[in-house]
Amino acid sequence: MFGIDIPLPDFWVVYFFIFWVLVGSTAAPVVFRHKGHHPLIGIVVGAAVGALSGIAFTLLLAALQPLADLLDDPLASILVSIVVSAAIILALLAFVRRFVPESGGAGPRAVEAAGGPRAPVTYSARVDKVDPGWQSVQALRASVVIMLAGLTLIPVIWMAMTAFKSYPDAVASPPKVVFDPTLEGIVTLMTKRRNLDSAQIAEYEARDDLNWADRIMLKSGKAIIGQSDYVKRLRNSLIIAGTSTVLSVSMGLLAAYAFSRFRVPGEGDLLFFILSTRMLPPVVVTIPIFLMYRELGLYDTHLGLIALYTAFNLSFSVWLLKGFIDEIPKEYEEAALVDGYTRLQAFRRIVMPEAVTGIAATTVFCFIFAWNEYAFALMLTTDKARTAPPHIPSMIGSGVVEWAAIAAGSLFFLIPVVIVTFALRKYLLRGVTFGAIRQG
Amino acid sequence: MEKRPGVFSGKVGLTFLTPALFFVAIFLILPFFWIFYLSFTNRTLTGVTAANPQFVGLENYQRLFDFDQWMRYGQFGNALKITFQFVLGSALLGQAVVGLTVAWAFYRRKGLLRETVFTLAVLAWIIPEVVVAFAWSAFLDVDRGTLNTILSAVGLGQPDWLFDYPLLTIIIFNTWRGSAFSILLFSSALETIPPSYVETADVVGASAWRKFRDIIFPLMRGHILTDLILITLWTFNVFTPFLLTGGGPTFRTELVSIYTYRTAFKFFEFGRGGAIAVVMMLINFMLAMGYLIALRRQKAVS
Repeated sequence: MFGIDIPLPDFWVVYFFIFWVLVGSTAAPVVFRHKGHHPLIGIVVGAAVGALSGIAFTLLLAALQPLADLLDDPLASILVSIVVSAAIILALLAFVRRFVPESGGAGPRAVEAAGGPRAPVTYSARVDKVDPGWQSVQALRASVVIMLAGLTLIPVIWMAMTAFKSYPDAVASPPKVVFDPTLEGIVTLMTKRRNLDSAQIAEYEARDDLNWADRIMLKSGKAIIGQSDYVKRLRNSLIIAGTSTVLSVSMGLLAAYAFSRFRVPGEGDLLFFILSTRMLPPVVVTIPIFLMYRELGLYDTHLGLIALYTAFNLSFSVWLLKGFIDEIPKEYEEAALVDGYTRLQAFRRIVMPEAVTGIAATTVFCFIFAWNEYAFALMLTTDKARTAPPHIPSMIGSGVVEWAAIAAGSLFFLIPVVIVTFALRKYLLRGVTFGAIRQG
Repeated sequence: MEKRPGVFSGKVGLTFLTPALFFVAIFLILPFFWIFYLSFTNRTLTGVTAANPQFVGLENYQRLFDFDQWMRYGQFGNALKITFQFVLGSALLGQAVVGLTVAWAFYRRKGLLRETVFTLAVLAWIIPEVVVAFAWSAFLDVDRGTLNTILSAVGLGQPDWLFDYPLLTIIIFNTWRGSAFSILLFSSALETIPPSYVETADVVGASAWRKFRDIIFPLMRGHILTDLILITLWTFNVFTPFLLTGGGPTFRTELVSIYTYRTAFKFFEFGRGGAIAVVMMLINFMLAMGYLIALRRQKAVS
């Protein structure tokens, strides 16, 4: 698409150099500033020292290879390399601290040497704020954490990239980092295709009623003949997750209101009882549910999964919403009742608007649960009501593995979850602890 | 909150509750008792015992706890042992320690770095399990996987992770996936500690370790307990590793949840599956009770 075709040096070597340069250039400036130099010098020197460390790391690793071979265990060699990098980082820090000369500038120590502060003291006097050792450890920690976080994201990044690769790019070894992005994977995911021979390809190319998806598939010599199963599964996922979310939130809201405002006999026990259902392992519930659904004809139906997800989410929505409603002063409603509202009106006009954040947060959590759920869907559906989660792994097992298509399927399945989570991350912790912990 | 009779009387409350209780009763309470009943029968999916299950007493349990067999591969004892190692490694040593370390590392820090790390952790946790499993199996692939490509680039060996170290791999995988909860919980617990305590320690020059040991840890004990019980419970029940290893190779990653699944939905022996489920529920029940007691005690303190 963009015609990028630059041969890169070995990607991972580059990655490691970036790592070391980052470590150097974040840890060193602190020391430089402390000793009265401009921090920019620190960044430059740190980057240079970092690059040297990268080389040292590679060489040391090569030197230690016999040792790793001696251990005859790949895991041991990985551990050795971790120890080596930790040692290099520490050596680097000690080096910078020890050999950078003091300067006559305006660093904290320079000010003290001149006989007390001449300018107003703008730096903190706390030990952990002025000790360069402490500060460079902090900076170092930051860069290590970022790199580790980046490493753990590799699987997801890889998936997002694969979703936009063509088939040859997706199976290339070593994996391609730079590639021509294409929508082939997505089209493959959504459609059924048949192979064309060369005469048919020519015929298809002559036609002018092709849409963009047809053209993409034509490039690899295929014609679209219909929708794939994945579209059906995705639709099922939407219907089931959506309906069960609406049901569990509305019923949960009523129940939470009752628990919060009314004198319910045996309230504590009932609440505990509802919560305890969430502690049941899914596999355990599935066995009797499976038998029950076969008797009732609910096996592999939308209704069956909707009912089960609703019941499972209820415990969650009751507890969470109760916490939110408890925070609304009861006096508001009492005043409304005195003014002649019916209870239902008071609920709708007073409680609902006040609890709207809570309702939104609960909706999202219920939706995510139903949307992500795998085990129930695997065991209680086969085809008609099967949702996307059990379908994605089964794509790997059938015929030619369309990596790009699977990656695209996973990616699109993931996007709604990520968006809603970010919108409501403030309530995340409160959500999963059933409202037990408020902030986070 | 005080509840006055009259305006908020009991009977109306119950009508509000009815739909929710109905659903919970049908889909969760009924199965709960049914599984007890099933565990004493020889119910299967097909054959004679499907239509007319016999009452077999404790036979299913005896087969489960048959001590001559039970440590063999693919038996209950083995699954329990693996689950124990898995919970120990992934929940207690993995998630709790990672959570505490990250929360402590970002204590009293604001800004982009903290946001980034927390966001990434939450991302790993909230992504659908099938997506995560797919991304990881590609990451760990022996020939073309990203991990082994990195390792070979720096000259290290390239093990077949899911075959050579299956248990270790799913432990690390589950730690990666589940740490966000501990991180969030611990950092919100840290925020409740009055800053003056730590600042006083700073002034007298206490080391980070001493601050942690003498100030932070005693004040967070309740939260740590909550966290440990909850993550133990979740890790015990987790089914996601099935997507990575399918319980193999040769049952080396067969957790109890996977074992139950295999018995009930591969061999369709619902009676035996029921017996395992009951044992699993008992373990869960004890953990959940622990959690609820801890929660109540915490409330009483605050």
